[in-house]
Amino acid sequence: MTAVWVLARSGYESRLQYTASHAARTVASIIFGMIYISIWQGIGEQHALQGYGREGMIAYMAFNQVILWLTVTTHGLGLEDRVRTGQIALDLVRPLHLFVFAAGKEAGSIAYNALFTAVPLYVLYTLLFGLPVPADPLIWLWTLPALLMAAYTAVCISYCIGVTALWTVESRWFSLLNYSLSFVLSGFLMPVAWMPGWLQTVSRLSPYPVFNDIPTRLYLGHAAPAALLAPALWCVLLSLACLAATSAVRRKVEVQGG
Amino acid sequence: MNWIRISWMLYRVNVRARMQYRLSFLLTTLLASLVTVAEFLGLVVLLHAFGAIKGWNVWEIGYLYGVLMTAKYVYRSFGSAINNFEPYLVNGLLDQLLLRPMPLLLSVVTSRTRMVGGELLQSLTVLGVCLGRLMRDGTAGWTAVPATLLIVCTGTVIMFAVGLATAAVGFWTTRTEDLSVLTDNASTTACQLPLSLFPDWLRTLLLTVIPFGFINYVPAMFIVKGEWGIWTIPATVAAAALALAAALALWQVGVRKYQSTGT
Repeated sequence: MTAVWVLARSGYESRLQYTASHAARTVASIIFGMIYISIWQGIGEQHALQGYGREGMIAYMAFNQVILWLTVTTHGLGLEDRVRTGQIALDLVRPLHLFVFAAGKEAGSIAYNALFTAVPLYVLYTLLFGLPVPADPLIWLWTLPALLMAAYTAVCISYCIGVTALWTVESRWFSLLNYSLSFVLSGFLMPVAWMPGWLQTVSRLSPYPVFNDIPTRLYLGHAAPAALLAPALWCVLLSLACLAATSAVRRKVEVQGG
Repeated sequence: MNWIRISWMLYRVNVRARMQYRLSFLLTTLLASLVTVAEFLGLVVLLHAFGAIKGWNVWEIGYLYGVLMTAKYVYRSFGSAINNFEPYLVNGLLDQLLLRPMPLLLSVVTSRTRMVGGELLQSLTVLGVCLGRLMRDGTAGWTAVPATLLIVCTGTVIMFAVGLATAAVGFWTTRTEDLSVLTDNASTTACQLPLSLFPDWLRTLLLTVIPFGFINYVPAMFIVKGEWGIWTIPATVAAAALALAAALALWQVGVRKYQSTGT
């Protein structure tokens, strides 16, 4: 546990560099959020947004934008570069599981995203767009584990992408595909229930609703606590996938550079 | 002329180098196409659920998307290094290029190539289908075809100019990836839909500081909507020229400020 804490702190501290760049990203994120909110303000003027209404949909988009940064991970948890440089061989002989090592570092980065992007966005959107702050502690009790499981799911998927670097030189496109699928299937753009039937099925069979649809509906009081079952199941399944991927890596690893 | 020949040669070398890793090349091409389709699916789902948005029907919004994305991918085909300039500054790659006996910008542009066949095919298909439908409906005449070709060219110039200005800011800030999210990704996302959807401040931003509104919305207001006059076409050309001149000037100043940061 100490090792994970040290790794997380190092990941966090390395993100504390380049403050100008971080400020640009936060501004970008604010503007992104405003773009999506504007889209729904425009649509809401002409269409009844069933179950949510115009204000509800603005809150949905605002909260989605806030929590987005909890599921944004480093490409392949940085494993691609470690494969290219041969560092992966040393990582595998450490007295620490490769997944714990990579996930521990990423946890610090996610904590940084939460503190310096998600929280400021939350405050700003609360002031600007009236994003509701739930008074019922139960809402927070369900939303917080949903957010933790969303972050963990994202880390697991990113790890699985990272280890593909052992088979293909370029795994960056898997990350982009992951991002694109998440954009469509997570409920980031609109609640999953509003998608066409076939896409709803695809979405619900994928882990992506864990990122946005489930935590946001819990936060807005549109989902029951039973909705937490799906994220819990995906956490277990993806943990097993990561363990299986690591044992495959141990058999496959070959040092390419150094 | 000599520079063009050298650039073409370097471009071919880059393409050949990329194709050495065949599995990686095939996967990259396949995944790039899937990414583009998935991103387009987001817009399709939105339009499927709500149809027309602010007086723009599905085909008109598809036209906006087609012009924007075609310009984006043409730019990415030759401007991949500019679009992903951060490693040149962080890892000191720019130092090597500074030693080459050719203009720095040309060295940077020809140092990296991206194959965009799959993405271009997708965006051109959307553009072709939507323009064809608008012409069949009588919304746009035959003049829309040359006008569209022109605005794809000016759009590419605007994309390149904004990308170049973003890269040039890196001479001061070192990191540019996050700024690029603002100037490229956020602007592209906004301009897939009509600018009339957005509040005044955002519309003004997208018509001045980051003039992506001139890539598709402004000319489309004449070409497919017929609501604004023909002046939008020369205005679009002027905006592209101005953006390019400003970006080149910023790049020149930035290069003089450059201090190596890599090892």
